[in-house]
Amino acid sequence: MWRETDSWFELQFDDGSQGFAHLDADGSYIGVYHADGTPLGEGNFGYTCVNDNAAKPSWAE
Amino acid sequence: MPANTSPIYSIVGATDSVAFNNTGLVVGPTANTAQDGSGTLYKAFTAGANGSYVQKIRFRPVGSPAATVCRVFISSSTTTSATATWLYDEITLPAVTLSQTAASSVFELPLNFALDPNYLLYVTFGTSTGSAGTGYSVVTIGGDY
Repeated sequence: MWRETDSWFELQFDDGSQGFAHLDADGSYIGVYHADGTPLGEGNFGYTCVNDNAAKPSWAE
Repeated sequence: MPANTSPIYSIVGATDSVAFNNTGLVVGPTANTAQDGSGTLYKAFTAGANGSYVQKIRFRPVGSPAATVCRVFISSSTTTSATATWLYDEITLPAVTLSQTAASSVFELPLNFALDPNYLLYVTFGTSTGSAGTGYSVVTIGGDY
């Protein structure tokens, strides 16, 4: 077990926009999302985690 | 007529690391989904003037990184264009939980080939491993000809 429960990463995309990643308790990725909750689509994306202990975004409540 | 019928051996060890090439950076927090050599790539090894034999790349977790995949690229140029930079291999890096009483798992990608003179190895990560400082120390083991 990586963490006690699932967790959220706060992301900064290379184009300056924000996003989130949702990870399972075992540390595997459930999904990567833009700030509005839209899943990351096809194509090439670069992003950096700026907070690996972020609060759950409101659209995920 | 073959140009060389004798095996050659490296003349000196060549150990290189992403940290050495990026001011001590622990890599993994920045993800790059591209498989064509575009985006942010981290240099892991530079071959010598006569080429180098590269044995392996070693991934040592730092902190408790989340699961990701590391992609290894060969490039003929420091200008990492899609033409000059080629995806060579990938390695799955599962989530690792740091312990102060047990060693973390280490992951190795065997290479075992001769790299052309001045060619480079780069790495990227398919997903972010966490905040700054949580990721991998990536070390390449080889020898220069």
